Amino acid sequence: MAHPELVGGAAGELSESTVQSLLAASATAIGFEVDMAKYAALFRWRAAHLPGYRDLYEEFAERANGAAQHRGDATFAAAPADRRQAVLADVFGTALSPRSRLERVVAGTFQRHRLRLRDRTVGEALWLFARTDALVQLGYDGWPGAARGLEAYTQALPRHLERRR
Amino acid sequence: MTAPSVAIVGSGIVGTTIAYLLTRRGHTVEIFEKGAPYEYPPARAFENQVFHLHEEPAWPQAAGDVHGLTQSGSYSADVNLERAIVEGGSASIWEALTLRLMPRDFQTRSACGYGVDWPLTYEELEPYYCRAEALLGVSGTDADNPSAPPRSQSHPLPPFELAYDDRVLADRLRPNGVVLHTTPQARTRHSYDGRPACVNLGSCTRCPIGARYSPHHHLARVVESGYGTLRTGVSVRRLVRHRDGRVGALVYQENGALREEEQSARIFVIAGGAVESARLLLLSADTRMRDGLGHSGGHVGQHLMFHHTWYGSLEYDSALYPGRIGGWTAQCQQFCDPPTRGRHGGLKVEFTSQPWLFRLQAPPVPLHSGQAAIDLLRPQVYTRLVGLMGESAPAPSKYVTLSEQRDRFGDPFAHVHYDATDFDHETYRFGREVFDRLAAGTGAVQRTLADAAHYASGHHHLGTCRMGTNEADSVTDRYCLVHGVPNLYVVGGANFASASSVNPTLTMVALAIRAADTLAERLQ
Repeated sequence: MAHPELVGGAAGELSESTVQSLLAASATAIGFEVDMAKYAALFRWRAAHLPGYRDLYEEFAERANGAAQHRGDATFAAAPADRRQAVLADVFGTALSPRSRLERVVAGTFQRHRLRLRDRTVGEALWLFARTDALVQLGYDGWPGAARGLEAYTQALPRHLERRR
Repeated sequence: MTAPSVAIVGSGIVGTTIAYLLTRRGHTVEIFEKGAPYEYPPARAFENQVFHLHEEPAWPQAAGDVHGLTQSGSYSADVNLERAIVEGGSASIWEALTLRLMPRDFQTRSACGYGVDWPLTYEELEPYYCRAEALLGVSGTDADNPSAPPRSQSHPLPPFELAYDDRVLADRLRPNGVVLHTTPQARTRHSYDGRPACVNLGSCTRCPIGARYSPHHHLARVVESGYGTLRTGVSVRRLVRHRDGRVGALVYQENGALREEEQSARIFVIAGGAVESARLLLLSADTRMRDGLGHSGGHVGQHLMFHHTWYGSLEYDSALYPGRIGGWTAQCQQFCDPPTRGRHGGLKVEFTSQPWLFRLQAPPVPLHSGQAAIDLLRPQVYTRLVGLMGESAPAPSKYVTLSEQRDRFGDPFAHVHYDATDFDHETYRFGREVFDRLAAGTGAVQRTLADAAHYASGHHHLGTCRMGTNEADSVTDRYCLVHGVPNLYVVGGANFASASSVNPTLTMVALAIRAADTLAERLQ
């Protein structure tokens, strides 16, 4: 992934509460009902194998929980959906969703660590979503990487030949 | 080390085929591979790629001072990156399309007025094509392809049927006189020869279950037979001849070692790809062949041909949902041997099914929400990628020679020079006409095609040790034996006298089987 590089930090196992924070953030950013198991596997594997990720994930969880508590929730994962979005805005700043190229440049220049935090957590979850569940949302019956069999692909999908709007 | 009957340079699909067939008959072989071992099947790398977004290199790269070349001319891609120097070679990571050349591909001089004829015909090679298809486990049919060359046996496995979106396009093209048909490929429609059936994971170049053929399937059998050994991480530096003209030994060096060693054998086979095979002949110059083995006619390294490939896309106003099966299902061979051939080369058309997003390591734009990801993907639903695979012809502007730069052992790297010719530009113009016809026939609302200068080689490097009738016109004879060196063979894409517009690997394997038969006879 071409994001700001991570430096240092030993790879290692994630605590369950950190995983739950990451999944809550991912679900909030994705905004569609999806099975979160593969996202949990993504975070656990990257923490366990890639230097710097575990520390970054734990920092994210700590910041998100702190911001959630500031807003009156016990933890970020326990916060209702509408407040999670606000918490993520607190944690990531404009890096969460820059509305313009200028905001992206500002985030990249003055909020580099926040940008890194965003890209390496929900940014990567969204990339996994794009390669998997997003295809199903678009009307596909599966995604590359999953065993799709040798019959279904020869049949029409419900939205096949639907006119472009 | 005990001398094997045959020493083979290169563990790719050609070297492995020869090794496998010889060891089955009880002959001993030793394979020398410059690259590193490859984890096969690459299940771990697949899982990391798909589920952990961790893209590993397609193969373990050798150090730059071992695996390198220099390059000049107008070809814009890095040829060095097109060569998988690794155990199993490029077929460790190939897309496994296994088509036969067209009969007239063997007679471009006499039938079309350009290039040279091969010293063998399609009819002579046809039985070996059948054996190659059986060896690789090719799934396919000619029943839907009126342009398919004649065959004496059906494919060993049934075809991968057209995808639904392929059929939609095929139905639109048929009234326009264009036939879109299935694609023969070396992946298993059913389980075959110990390989499992394909389950459509969609990542054919990194097949985690071995459904797509890889030389590793047979390399393992070579080693298990007890007749074959494989040495990886070993660079063969030159061949040394006896006074009688025969090669007595190859000189090799482990990539991390300080001194070189020799290995003798009765017969030597170079199967290192078109670039490295030519280089090794040139590096083996001696007092009687001062410019290189087999080079008395000046042909070693000459006649280099790429498989010129231009990519385009066709966009439609209704949803096609391409990419539901990995790799390729639909293609068109009816332009491979057109009546106008001679003014330009033939052309094969591929409608690829590869989802482009899956091949990216990172999002092309930052993603801020699930909806943004969906919006990024949506155009893919309406778009088909099209590949135009053009036949190139040999020319003085396309060759391999020795570089001024040297590898870690002090040997010159290969130098590749490649400039497209007027013939190639005419092939592009022909391709453009075909592309426009496909766009109009399928009702595309938008079309985009790379310009003439932006072609890929298909990673198909051909022709540098071409076969012919004598040393005045070629490097090897029709059985891949190097002219003037009675126990040295060069086998593979290097032998091609013409490039064709279809993928070359099945032909390389057919030539390897034919050469293996010859070797086995000699070893009796």
